[in-house]
Amino acid sequence: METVLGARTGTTYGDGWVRSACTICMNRCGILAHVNEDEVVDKILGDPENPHNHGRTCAKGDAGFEGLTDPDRITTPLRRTNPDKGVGVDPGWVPISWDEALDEIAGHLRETIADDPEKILYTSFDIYHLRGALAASWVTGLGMPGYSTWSAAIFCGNNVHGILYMNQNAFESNPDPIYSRYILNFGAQFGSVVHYDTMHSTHELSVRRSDVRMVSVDPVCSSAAAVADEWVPIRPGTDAALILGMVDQLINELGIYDAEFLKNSTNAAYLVGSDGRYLRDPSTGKPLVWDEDNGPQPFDAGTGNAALTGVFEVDGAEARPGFQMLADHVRSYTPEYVESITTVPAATVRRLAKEFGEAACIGETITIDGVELPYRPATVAWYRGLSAHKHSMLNGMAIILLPTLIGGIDVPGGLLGDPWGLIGKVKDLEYTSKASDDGLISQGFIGGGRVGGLYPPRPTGPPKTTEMWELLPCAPYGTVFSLLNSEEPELFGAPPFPSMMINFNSNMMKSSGPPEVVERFIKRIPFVAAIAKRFEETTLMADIVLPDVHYLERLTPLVYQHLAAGDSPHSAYGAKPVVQSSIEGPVPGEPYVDAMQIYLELLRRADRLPQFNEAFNNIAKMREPYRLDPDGSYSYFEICDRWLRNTLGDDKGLDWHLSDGLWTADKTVVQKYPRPFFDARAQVYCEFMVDTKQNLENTVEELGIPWETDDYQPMPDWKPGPAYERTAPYDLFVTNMKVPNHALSHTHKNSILSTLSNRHNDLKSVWINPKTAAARSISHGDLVEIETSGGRKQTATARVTQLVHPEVLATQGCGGGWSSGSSGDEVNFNALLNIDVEHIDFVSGALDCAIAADVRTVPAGRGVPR
Amino acid sequence: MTRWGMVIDAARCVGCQACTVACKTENQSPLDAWYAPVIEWEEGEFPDATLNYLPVLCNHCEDAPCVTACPSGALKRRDDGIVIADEDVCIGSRACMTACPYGALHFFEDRGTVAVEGAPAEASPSVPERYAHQRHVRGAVSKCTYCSHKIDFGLENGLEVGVHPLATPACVVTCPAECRIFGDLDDPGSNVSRYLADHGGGEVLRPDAKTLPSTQYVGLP
Repeated sequence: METVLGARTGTTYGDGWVRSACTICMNRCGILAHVNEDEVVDKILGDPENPHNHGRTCAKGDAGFEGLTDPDRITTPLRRTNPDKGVGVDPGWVPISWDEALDEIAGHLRETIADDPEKILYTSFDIYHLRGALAASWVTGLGMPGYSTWSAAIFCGNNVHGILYMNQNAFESNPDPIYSRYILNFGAQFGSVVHYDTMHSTHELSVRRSDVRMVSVDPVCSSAAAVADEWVPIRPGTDAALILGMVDQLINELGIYDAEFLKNSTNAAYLVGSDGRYLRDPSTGKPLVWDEDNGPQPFDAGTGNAALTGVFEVDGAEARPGFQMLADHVRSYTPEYVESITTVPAATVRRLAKEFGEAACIGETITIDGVELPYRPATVAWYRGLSAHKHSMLNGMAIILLPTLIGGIDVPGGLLGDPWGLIGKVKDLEYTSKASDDGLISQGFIGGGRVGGLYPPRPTGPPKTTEMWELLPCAPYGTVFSLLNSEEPELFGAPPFPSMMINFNSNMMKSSGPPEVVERFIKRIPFVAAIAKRFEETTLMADIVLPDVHYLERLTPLVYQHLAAGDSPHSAYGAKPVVQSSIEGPVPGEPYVDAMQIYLELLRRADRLPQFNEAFNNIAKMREPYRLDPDGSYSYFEICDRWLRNTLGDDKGLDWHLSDGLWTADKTVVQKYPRPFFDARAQVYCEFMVDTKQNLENTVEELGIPWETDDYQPMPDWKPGPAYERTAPYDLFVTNMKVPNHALSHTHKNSILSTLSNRHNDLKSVWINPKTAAARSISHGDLVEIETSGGRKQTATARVTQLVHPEVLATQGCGGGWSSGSSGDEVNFNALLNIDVEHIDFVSGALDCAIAADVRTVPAGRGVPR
Repeated sequence: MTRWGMVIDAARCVGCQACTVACKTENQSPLDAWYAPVIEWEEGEFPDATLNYLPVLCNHCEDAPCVTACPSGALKRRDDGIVIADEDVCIGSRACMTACPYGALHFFEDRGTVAVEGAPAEASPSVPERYAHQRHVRGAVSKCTYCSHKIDFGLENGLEVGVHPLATPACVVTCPAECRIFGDLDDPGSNVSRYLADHGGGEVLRPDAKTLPSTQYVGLP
């Protein structure tokens, strides 16, 4: 068999080193991997030429070769012979041929497509696969609306992606690692090696650490809080109250906001009537603003003096600018009220607002590449900590106000978006933001997946799948509703249930909801295929299992583009086989390098190649002569070659990728800091929520199903989550945090990293404040049982520590599990979650991860089964 | 003379343990031996509490108690100041482990894992552990060498020590926060000497032990 391997020469490190990319977490670092004389990868270093990670790797990346020689690897297709499925049930695997396996899966695909392609559930959280054009083309080729990002999709980006699309046309965003001087982490860990852009930002921040003030608002002194200048402990699920208290202080007490930015780059001046909707120009239908000299004018009439504050009368109706609406709305969030909700002292609320506002340097500019730009070096970071809550979208709407009020979006020092990091956007370097008729940023959602935006909201209608996507007009994901529909099938009128599932590199049994809930869901799906490197908890539920390759055996070009805003170069690179997999792949005679080879074979056998080829041409923006002939049949290698040439130039095909594979380019100042250079506006007052709520209520009334619409409101509020009442004995919150030496669930089986965890950040532990421990007669090191108000339990060893809020039980990582190689005695936080209406946010699809719980010692000698 | 030394700016450390793992994979240390851990400890009371991080490794002392204590002559201080353990000479007395004030020496016990010398690759749970049996001697003491093999390689191949990744200790290369600087303490113009001068001199751990460490710190918590 011909081999396809990355070149082992030509890098900084000399012979034996292959340039590739790490796929362990979201940060896509460039690496050099060393192959020794035994053909074993024995060392990984950061690629010093890669501007994204500057030659650095983290603990996970350093240990990434573990798993290549794992004796538990799946090496051949397998069929289940035991019809019973469930935790602890032996599947009775028997090896089968690739032909048999592929034909059977393709047969199920044909049948399901003939019935309803939306009944195919494709689950993955392989971010390198999902972010590329190939994955989107595979699901589009099958006729599916998109893939389903289980696992982190339930927890992470629910109030992030849509909010960012709305106000900066970005999927992800981060503080500016070079120019930010005041960084507020809300339950996030920017600045430590637990976030996006970790290596770059840690490197940049370390150089100017004494000039940067970092504040972590977090129930736990996380690794980021530990290195911050200040840790502000907060009661879980109350961040929005603190944020709105800061907004009140900034607007109503301190008068600190960027009026020019708000007038010209947001909808803050748009006049809002008593019904909560914009006042519109009768002839053009455009929203009106109040010009201080000329009275009501369409927003784009060129007025330079639109009022942000005041009450006006327009044609006999009272109207206020959206900014005035917000100013009035947040007045109730006094520091004292905020303290009563959050436990953050009122004086601290006032101080944080003042520090943030003063650090924003409103009015100041900085010259970069000869161009004078606004300089706003105060910013925020948030992800799961703020997102995984009942009122998630309101939390997101609250936090985006902070950078928006100070004009700190995509300018030096501010919150920098990553608008290009998605499908088909490589080398589409210029920031393009389509403005809606109302003048607002309205790119909407990008991608072949079900990832969506907040604005413009999608039309509502009868749900086509268990994810209820059609009733979530503003959500990026609806994943958690699949579990709710499985648990309570009649609650929403039994929407169509999946007929089959293909699960790729995502251990949803361990990384989404409680195992018994996910187990029931998967058992209801008539046919399940899984693609995995080794048996994971989810793999054990499959009918057919196909072997996957390790990332150091993988050929996956062009999904590692780091094209975020900010003053560092563009780069594009990808993974290449460092060593040849010994596993026979789906195509005879072809080296096995990527699961896409399986999908191409399945598409061929299900007669869907023409649809795939067309989809790929569209999604990857293929041009002649690289476009795929719809009637053609291409190998994975040929597709990669065409895709690379189409994207990076005719001399940068597969041979270039294998021998070099790192493309970099300097940015223009517009690419670095795009906000000052385009017209589309961000939102301060989310007027669209008013009609969205009404439309949704009409739809669910027609459908006759219960649905929560209260949180569709144009301005955010803090509302109590289900654990807020703290009813004894479940008067604590159990929460979870990420740790720097693990990512997702898969690194927990890396023997180097798990050994490190055992001696360093003990993942079997639960953090308990000394006062709480004393009240419950718990001593450091005791075996304890956490019990939630929902009756779910985990055992742990007590780490009695000052580093946690007294009302909080803090767990770490995504450990536990029962498959071979899992550490069953690690705490599996997800096993404590509640899948019910009370814990789900009906706007964003988030699941509340601050769970009401009790903790008590386990009597000696009594083990607690997990 | 050259005296290789490391300056660790502890104020920069983010506790990510990248150095810890980079050391393990570079030196293929036995699985439960960690030559360069990051230790941590709590300080203060809630809500004014924090977690401190401190990267530690062999101090490569000028007056090294381990060398003095070693009955077999296995522990030596090279002319360039690096303290090494000749594992072939070590008789496993572990006197050095008792003498060292820093806990920087590690005894390679075979704890009965599946990884044994000559075992096939597929039976090994860990690549470093598999190679530990080729690289290290069971029943002997091993330790941080400042990656002396990389320094020697760099000098032999004209690479700048402390700068080129192949001529610099693994923990220094990988650190995302750039906590660590490696260079010649005897050269007043070296990167380490200048960093120390810029920060008003370095501190050492356990100064009471008076061992004159070559591993020095600024920004200690």
